Amino acid sequence: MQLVIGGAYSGKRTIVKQKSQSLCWISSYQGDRLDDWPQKWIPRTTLVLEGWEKWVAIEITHQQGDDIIREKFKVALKALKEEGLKRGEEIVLIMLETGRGIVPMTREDRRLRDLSGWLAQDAVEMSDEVFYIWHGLERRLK
Amino acid sequence: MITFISGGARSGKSSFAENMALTIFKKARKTKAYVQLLYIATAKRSDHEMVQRIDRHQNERAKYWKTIEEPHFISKVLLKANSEDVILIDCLTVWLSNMMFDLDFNVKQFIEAVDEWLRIVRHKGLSLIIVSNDLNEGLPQSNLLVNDYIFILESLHKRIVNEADYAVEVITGIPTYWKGEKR
Repeated sequence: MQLVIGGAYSGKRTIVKQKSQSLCWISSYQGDRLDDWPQKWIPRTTLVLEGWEKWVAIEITHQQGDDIIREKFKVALKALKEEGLKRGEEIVLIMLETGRGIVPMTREDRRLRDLSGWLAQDAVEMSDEVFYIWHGLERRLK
Repeated sequence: MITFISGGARSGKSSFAENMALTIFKKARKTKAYVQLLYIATAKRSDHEMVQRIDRHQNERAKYWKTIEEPHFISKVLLKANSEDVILIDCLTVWLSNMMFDLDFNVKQFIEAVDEWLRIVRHKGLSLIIVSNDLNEGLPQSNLLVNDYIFILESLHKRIVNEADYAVEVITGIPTYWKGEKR
């Protein structure tokens, strides 16, 4: 499992597209839900999951505590990793760096930023390779 | 030669860029007396505070630098420069706001403008150093104008970095070379 992380419009998607010919995208920007992947993952393709901050935002609206949400995502990451190993296929998580701006004005946005940061840390922990994207260039961090 | 330098606010990127420009200039000047060291200041003299800031910066640079205040038409300055001049633009984000708010440029026009700079630089053998700011690593903005601004800024960053011989990220004055060997 790989994690590709970087700021908005930094070129993450373009770099992921260069990594593999056959990619299966699960994207919150296209309306996909995180738990759509078991049905939508086409055999013999690399699974790409993008738009995690939107999935986190949805969880926040469900009135749950931070720890419960963080744990939910950890469980989801673990399930992904296990399925990837079982199938012998690669999984790429694309995440947005959101922690380097000013403190958000609203409590909801602050929670979103905190949870996105923790999620990224958990994803780094579980990923075999981590890449940081900066203005269209990539650097391997793990 | 094209160099892109970026980092956060007060990361020391401007000092780093000025030192780099000065080093390139001094080296070139040894053999070519016509080479100039130009500073393209993109900030406008909008109020008293800006006038003071601009004057202070210009005095600090007075010894070697020729400062040109140009908030909009960078290509004009590049076309007028002598071949092999060393030119610093500080900062791309200020120029972007000027163009967005004064001239209502769209993303296509921005890309064309920057492509033109890079073409002129290659054609005339200039050394261009562009300083910018990493503004895309905070929480996404629901404000459409801010979001557009970051989208265009990143489009230009990717364009410039792709063309650049050197791409440098500065954190607390310390450079990380993403492209090119450390000088």
